[in-house]
Parts: sequence; C-alpha cells; structure tokens
Amino acid sequence: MSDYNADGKRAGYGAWGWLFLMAWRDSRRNRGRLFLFISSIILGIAALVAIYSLGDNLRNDIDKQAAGLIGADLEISTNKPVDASVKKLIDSLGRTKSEERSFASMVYFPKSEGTRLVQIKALEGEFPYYGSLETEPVEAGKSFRKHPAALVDKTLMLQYNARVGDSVKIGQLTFVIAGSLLKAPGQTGFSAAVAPTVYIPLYYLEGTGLSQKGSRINYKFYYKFDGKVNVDQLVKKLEPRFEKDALNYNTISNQKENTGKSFSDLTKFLSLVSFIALLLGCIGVGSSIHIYVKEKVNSIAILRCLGVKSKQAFLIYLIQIVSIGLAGSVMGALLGTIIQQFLPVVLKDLIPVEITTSTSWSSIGQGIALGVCVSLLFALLPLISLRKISPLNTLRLSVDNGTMQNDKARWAVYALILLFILLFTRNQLNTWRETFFFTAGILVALWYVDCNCSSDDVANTQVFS
Amino acid sequence: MAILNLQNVSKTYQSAGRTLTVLDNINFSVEAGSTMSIVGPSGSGKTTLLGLCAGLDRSSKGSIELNNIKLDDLSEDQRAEVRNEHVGFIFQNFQLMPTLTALENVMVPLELRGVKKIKLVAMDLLEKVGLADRSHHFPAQLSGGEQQRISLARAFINKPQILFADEPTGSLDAETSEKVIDLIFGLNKEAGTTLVLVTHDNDLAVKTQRIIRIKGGKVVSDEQPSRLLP
Repeated sequence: MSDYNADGKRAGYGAWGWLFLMAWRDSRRNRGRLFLFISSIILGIAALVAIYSLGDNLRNDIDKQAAGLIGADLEISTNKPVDASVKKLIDSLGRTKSEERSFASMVYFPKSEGTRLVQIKALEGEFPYYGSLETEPVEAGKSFRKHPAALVDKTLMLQYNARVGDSVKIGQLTFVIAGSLLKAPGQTGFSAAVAPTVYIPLYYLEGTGLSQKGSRINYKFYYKFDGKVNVDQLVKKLEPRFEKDALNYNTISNQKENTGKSFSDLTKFLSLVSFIALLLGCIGVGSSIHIYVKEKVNSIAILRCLGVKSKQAFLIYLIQIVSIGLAGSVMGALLGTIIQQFLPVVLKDLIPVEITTSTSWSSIGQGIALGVCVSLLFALLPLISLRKISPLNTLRLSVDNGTMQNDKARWAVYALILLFILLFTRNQLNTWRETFFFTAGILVALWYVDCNCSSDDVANTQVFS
Repeated sequence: MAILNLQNVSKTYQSAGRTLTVLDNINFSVEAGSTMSIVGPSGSGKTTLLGLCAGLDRSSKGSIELNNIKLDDLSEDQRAEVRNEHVGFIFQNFQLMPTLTALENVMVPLELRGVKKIKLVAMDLLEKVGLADRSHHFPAQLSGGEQQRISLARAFINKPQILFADEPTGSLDAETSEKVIDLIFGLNKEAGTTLVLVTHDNDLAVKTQRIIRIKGGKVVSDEQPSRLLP
C-alpha cells in the first residue's frame, strides 16, 4: 500500500471525477428507466412551480392593482339608511365622492319576456376613481348615468338575447340598455355569473319603487382623496365613530391585505396538495430505486472486488440519483413555468385582478431545490443498503441474515425525511400546531403506503460479516 | 518467500441457531511466483477458501497474510485497497460490468488507483488477449470466451502480485477453455504473478505446480502434480 498518502487517500487521479465518470458510465443503459422513475418528481415539481409562480405573480398583481379592486381610496358601507348625523359625517369626509345602493331584485326583459334575479347597483358620482366600468360600447360606462339607462352584465345580455338599445324593466321603470357590462372593480366572472349586475343611475332608483322602508339595501360611499391624505390614519382616527354608527370601511391597503391573504391561503393550500402528491410520487421513486439498486448488486460487488470502497460505491449511485433528480426537477420547473402561462386563462373568472405571467425565478429555484431534496431523501433509503453489499456476491449468491433494521443510517434518513416534511409544512402554514397535525397525517398516509413496500430486500443479499 | 500464508484458518456460519463449519483449521503458504490449484468436490469449501485468501471475506478463526499484510485486522474498505493494490481476479461468470465497454472494464482497477494515461496500457493488454478490435464493445456483445479474455486483461492491468481464479473455464466450451488456459498461464508467466486456481477440472489443476485438495472444509492433500504424473 505504498502509493497511499498518510491519511489513507490515494494520490493522483481526481477521486470525485472518477465517481462522476462511473456514475455516467453505469447509467448508460438505464437512463430512460431512471427518467421514468423520476417522472412523478417532474409532475410534482411542475405543479408546485406553477402554483408558486401563480402565487408570486398574484401577490405582485394584487399589490399593483389593489386600487382597481376597490375603485376608490376609501369605501364606507352600511346596510341601514343613513340618518342626518351619519350623512353629516359622510359629507364631511370629502367632496370627491360617489354613492351606490345595491340590492337583489328581479328584472324583466320585454323583448325576450325573460325575468331574472340580479344585483341592482344604483350609482351616483364618478365611481370608479381607479380602474373603470368596462363596457361595450366603451362610452356607455359614463353616459348611462345621465339618462334612464342601464348597464347590463354581458352574461345576462347573452342569456336574454338583449342588445344595446333594448329595454329592461326594473320595478316600475323601464330603462334603455346603454351598454353591456364587461367588468367592474372587484368583480370576477364567477361572481357575475352567480349574481349578474345591472347598473342604473341612482337618480332613478326612487322611480322604480324598489327602495322602500324595509328594503334590504346596502349603502356604499366611495371617496377619492388627493395625495396628501393618509387614508389609513384617517380611518384609524374615525374608527370609534364608524363603530358607533355601524359603518364598515375598506381602504386600498385593507383590500390589498384581505385579497392577498385569501389568495395566499389558496396558494398555500394548493402547494400542500401538490406536496402530498409529490411525496406520494417520491414513495414510488423510492420503490423504483429500490428495484434498481437490487439489479445493481452484482455490479457493485464487482467494483468492491476491484477495490472500490463502500462509500465510493454508495456515492456512484448517489450521484446518479441526485443528477437524475436535478434533471427531473429542472424539467418539472420548466413544465411548471409553461403551465403557469395558461393558469390565468383558466382562473380569469375566479380572480378579480389581471394576472401577469412573468417567470418567477424564486419559484423555479424553490421547485428545483425541493425536487432535489425529495428525490435524494427518498432514494437514500434504498441507497444506504449499497454500503453493505459484499464483494463475495461475485463468487456466490449466498444469503447472510444481516438486515438494515438496526442500521443507524436508515433511522437517520427517516429522521431527515420527517424533519424535511416538518420544515416544509411549517414554511407553508406558519403555525406549529397545524404543522404537527398535517405532518402526523402525512406520516400515517406514508406508513400505510409503505406497508407494502419494505426496503429490506436489498440488505438480504450477501452483506459483510 | 511466501506471498500468501494461512495459519489455523476456520470459517463458520450461524444458520438457524446452529454453527456450520465450512473451513476447519486450514494451514498452507504459497510462494511468490508459483502456481497452485485448490480442488475438491462441490460444497467442500474451496470457493470460501478463495474468498478468504483474496480478502473478500474474513475468517472466523486463524490468520491470513497476503503479501505480508495481515488481512484479519483490516476493515472491509482497507481490504478493498489491498485487493486493488495486490490482487487480480478471474471469475467463472467473467463478472464484467455490463454498462462498461471492454476497454473501460479493463481500465477500472487503474482508474481507481488514480493512475493517468492508462488507455495505452489497457489497449496493450487487449492486444495481448487478441481483442483490441473489440475494445468498444459491451460485454453483452461478446462471446463467453471473449468476455473471459477481457476479464483476464482486467485482472493483469494492475500488475497484481497474486491472481485468484475461480473456475476460470467453468462456463466455457472445451476449445475456448484451452485458449483461455493458455492465455492465463502465458500472461501469468510473463508477469511473474502468483496464481491460485479453484477448479473441478483435474486437467487444468495438473498444469499448476501444486494441488491442494480439500474435502469437508479440511485439507486432505497437498501435492505437486509432477510427482503424481507417471
């Protein structure tokens, strides 16, 4: 052993270089199969990256478009008619204001003789101050306010075959349809389908006879302030008064927070669902690697005979799995980024903001790191049994009764998997209590799935005495 | 000078609560550069003995010295280093890596040592076994005889002090066996390597300078074929 260094390492040839070379050589006839193993990782990571990217873009879009969601700097609402003292307060808040009264009512389309329950919104003023009432024709969004005219939701127009210029009867008054309503602040396609909206000028509400004592009407007041007014400070100051008069309020920052939280919860939920799918896929990966490793016992025994150390044999296959996990994760991230381009099309009716589809590098990075971690963690269980394969397997296939049951490394891998699930879940849920429940649920599920695929078989080949 | 020295070597296995003695108190030494056969019936323990001598396994009792290195005290990884440094192997089933080409299979022992520019050395050995033109073929593309010749080239590339061959012609037909045997002895003579053969084949055994017969895990005879021949 004269060519060895004092620390027992061999001189000359790059040991890591040779390990990578052997990993590459050994994978030659198995690359297709390895990619098949990793296909569940590709799909899992694709789902996660698509969801992360959507969440990322949504956060940015909500930040940018929050003013358009509420349509004003401040919205005050109540479900009671305003009395004189409240009116005084409301008038004192600002001069650039609009009023909206909304309620559910039946409308009648004389042309098609159809009736439908809709959301009537009687509007006065220049609302919305941010964004616009998108209508067809475009000018209808402003012009309808001056005449006994109505903006009718496009789905209603389609349903009742109504056209601009036709009439719609609301209560005792008949309105000319000034335009088809395509989009209003904070309104989604889904909400429009459930409760389609008809806008009319507030001036004509009394004439319909629908606003009477006892009518369930929601009163809203919208304000636009100049840049000097700090709206959040203003509402904080007025909060006791709002509370006393049962007035609700909403500001752009509130809207941002509430909408952001709703969608953040949604993306977290979807991330956890994808994570579960990924974990289940990883069990499949673990089982496949287990079979793969079993087939490699003889090759490993040959290498051991020729002088390869147990750690080196382990590393050759670890490099293979990490490389294929990395490749699978990159492919998954790419697929997820492509899927994310189509998500706005699918979700446009559910989400009140215009979703951009910019590439989220942080989501891609997270997805790739996650993919490598899970493929490595779940492949480690079968891979650690490689260390125990004896060179004697080249001479005979006798069986030693040594098992992996008491192998500390095996328990260390289990601990790592548990830690990984805990940390990932904690990162998504932000509370330890929910994290523990979720992790416990995952463990029960994993245990149930794992019952049928023990990873002891590899160790039941010839192991060191 | 002895390159291999076994003293009171025994190997036992625990099976179903019973102790099974496969080798019992084996003693012999092998001179450097000599050739020797271990023969015996199936189940006599000859392959187990080969495994112990080559450092593939550890004895239950006794001591084995290979090139003055005491194998009993070494870990499996240390024994792997010894194998790479001092030992060559030929197996009955050739044991080539199926995903490596013939050339790559031959190069592995030296690559592992970290030796550079070994392609020429490997090609030279492939030339000697008559397979230089098949260097880029995979084992599955080669016949049994060709695979064994590749295995021979691999066994000699690290210039081992001792070569262990387990039934080297066991999977070959008579004609191919003859060629492989000639190659083994030819290369062995050229390299001055010690050869330890495990075989059923008496015709092959008598080509070595010494034959150790084992039966039931014990050495029953230790003779030189030249004295046995008429």
